[in-house]
Order: sequence, then structure tokens, then C-alpha cells
Amino acid sequence: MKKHRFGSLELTVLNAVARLGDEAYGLGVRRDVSELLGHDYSVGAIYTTLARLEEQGLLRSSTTAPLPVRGGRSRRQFRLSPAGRLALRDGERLAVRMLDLHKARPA
Amino acid sequence: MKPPWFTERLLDSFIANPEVSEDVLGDLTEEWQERSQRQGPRAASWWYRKEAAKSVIHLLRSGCGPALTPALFGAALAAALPLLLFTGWAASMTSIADLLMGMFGNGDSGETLPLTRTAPVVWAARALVASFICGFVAGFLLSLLSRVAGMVRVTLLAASWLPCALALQLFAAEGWPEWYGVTLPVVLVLSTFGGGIGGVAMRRSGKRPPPHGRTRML
Repeated sequence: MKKHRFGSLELTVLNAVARLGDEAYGLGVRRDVSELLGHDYSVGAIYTTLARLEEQGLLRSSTTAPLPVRGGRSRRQFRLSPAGRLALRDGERLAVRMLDLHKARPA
Repeated sequence: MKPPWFTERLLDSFIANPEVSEDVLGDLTEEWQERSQRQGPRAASWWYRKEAAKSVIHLLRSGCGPALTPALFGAALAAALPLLLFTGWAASMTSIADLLMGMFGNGDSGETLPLTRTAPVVWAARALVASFICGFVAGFLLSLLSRVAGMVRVTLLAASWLPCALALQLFAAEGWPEWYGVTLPVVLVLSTFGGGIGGVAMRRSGKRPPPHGRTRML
């Protein structure tokens, strides 16, 4: 199984997609990630990350029908692929292990 | 009510992939609608412009992607040729004039040929004006004629002027002012972008070609 190495943004985006369900499209992910990391990410930064994750086979996407609120454009919704679920679990495990190590260090 | 059309069109011209263009512009439009109701259209439009400017770097980087090196090489060749020809012409004209003066001129009487009477500063200024026209026309045509991502190509062209303009310092005729070396690349880059933006504004607002299936790269 291929191991993926992520930055914090990639991991947070994967996490956001996993939690948001039907709201996991660019705008929803951007709001969630910006709130969680306390930084206002641009639409471009989020879509670049989403595209990279999709290219790595960690995300899948589908488009909705055109929506008037988007000026007649469709919305692309993302969901985790099985590989993405595994990668997210790996990332969470790593985060927990790092936290444990941090707690265990001598004062 | 709609988001600022020019910003929308300009941002669209920075995105290489039609699918991503739909996604990005759709997201921005959706948030613009929300902000417009909350804060008014003017504040929403300012936010839209700021957000578009922030996104350009990311979109441009991913839009160029793996094609960056060959595209830069091709653009550098395309840009170097007319510039080399032009500056070569300007330099050789002064050199020929100097040569003629050496052969036929009479230094004692103080007579000079018209070309040598022209100060290098004037030549440099003329070269800058010609470079401005060159850059503007190239950027304008490239952006106007590109079906997709015109500004990505314009950016590559603008970037490719830089090494050419720096290399031209080696060929600059003797006595040309020092500021020419600094201003030439600046003028070329700015005029190319100016032409590109002009081309985007002139383009008909026709729809992009529809996306064909899944596209792997942004």
C-alpha cells in the first residue's frame, strides 16, 4: 500500500471532506478549513489542494446540476475514496502518536 | 446582480482547466451572492476582486504545471527573436554609422552623419518605445487569440522576456545609458501584461469549450 505524506493543509482538507458530507464542495471545505486552521485560505489554494488529492486517488468527485446561485454553474462535490479513508486514518494515528510523545516527555 | 465581470473574465483567463474554472468561478459567485445580501454589492465586489487576486498565484502555478519548462523555452525563443533582431538592428545602425564616419567623415570639419548625431539616450528611448509596442501587441494578440487560459500564456511570455532583456545588455551599443538595462525588462513585462489584460477585455464573453470528461491536472 502506497504511503502518503501530507502537509497540515492536505490532512485538514481530507478531514473536512470526511466530515462535511454533502457540503464537501470547494466553498464548504474552504470555510471549514479556514475556521479550523485560523487562516483565510483562497479559493485557488483550496482547489489546488483538492485537485492534488484527487490526482493521488484519495478523493473522488461528482458534479451537480447547474445552480442559479452559482451563476448557472454546477457544483463539484468531493468524497473520500477508500485510499483516502486509509490515508486519513494514518494521518490521525500519526497525530495521536506525536501528541503522546509530547505528553510523555520529561518536564 | 452579478459579480464584477471583468475580474471574473480575467480570473477565468488564468485558469487552464475548464472544469476548475467552473468550480472556482461558481464558488466565488456563490459567496459573492451571500456577501452582497449581507454587506451590499460594493463590499462584495471588493471582496471578490481581493479573493481573485489571492487565487491567481495558486491557479497559475498549477495551470502551468509540468508544461512550464517547455513552454518557457518556447516562449523564450519566440520572444528573443524579434527583440534580438530589433536591438541588433539598432546597434548595427549606430555601428554602421560610426564605420561610415570613420571612412568618409571629416573629423576636422566637425561634420557628422545624421545617425551619429543622435545621442545614445535617444536611441535607448526609441528602443524602449518599440519594446513597449512589441510587448503590448504580443500580449494583446496572445490573450485575444487564446481559447483558454490566455493570461497563463501571457505570463509565460512576460517571464520569458526577462532573460532575453538581460542577455541584450551584452549586445547594447557602447555609450547607451545605464537605466536602459533596468527599464527594458520592466517595460517589456508591464506592456505584455497590459496587452494581455486589454485582450481579455476585448474578448467576446462567449463560453469556454465544455470540459471533456475528467481532467487529471488543474
